[in-house]
Amino acid sequence: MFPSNVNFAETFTAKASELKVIRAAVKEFLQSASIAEDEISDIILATDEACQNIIRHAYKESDDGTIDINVQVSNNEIVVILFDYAEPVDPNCCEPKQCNTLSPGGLGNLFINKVMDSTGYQCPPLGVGNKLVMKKMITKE
Amino acid sequence: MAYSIASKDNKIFVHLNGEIDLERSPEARKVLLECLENTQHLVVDLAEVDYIDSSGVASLVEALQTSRKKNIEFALTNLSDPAMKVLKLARLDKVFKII
Repeated sequence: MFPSNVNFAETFTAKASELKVIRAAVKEFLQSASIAEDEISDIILATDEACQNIIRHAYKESDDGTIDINVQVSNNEIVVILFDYAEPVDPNCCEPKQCNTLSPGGLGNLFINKVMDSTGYQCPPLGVGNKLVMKKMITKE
Repeated sequence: MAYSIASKDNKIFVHLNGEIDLERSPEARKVLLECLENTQHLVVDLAEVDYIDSSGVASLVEALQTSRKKNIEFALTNLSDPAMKVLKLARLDKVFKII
């Protein structure tokens, strides 16, 4: 049984070596919220891929940016919100590749779109950076 | 990520272990491409891969592309659940030779 509403909010350094820390923190939170393991692995994959996009495309691997990660669990949905403070990115810059094609690029957004029910950019509250919102419906055990 | 390399029956076996993410995938890519310089048959064992993301899969795709250009046999084996999951998401389980 899920708690009615639980929330995770932490800020991480935007660099590749931080991704394992992010995955571990999000996993620990989702396990504490009694989310099913399959759904946890989906959320972790989507969060990891979205953070990679921020590191590579928003901050251009500069190592001095931050990512605010907010995960909200309600009775029927998990919402992952990522904030960065880089220059606004073109939401169409990272189109997912087609399945079953042999090219290394575009896989990250393909994975996000496959494991999440919706994903989209919203206006960041401070008017700077980027705000990505990803949602996934969950079922009660 | 850690890795080990073994050789048997004119094949090179690369065992990748742990998490292959944006931080570690360059090492996986380097190991695979170096092995493709020294064999006509490369098998990549993914049994102990706990996590692999798009950058890790991209390393496998690049190795497969290189093997095709050089006419080298390239296969994946013993895929862990996380590895099989992401390959299936991209439908690359139908592209790679899996033994």
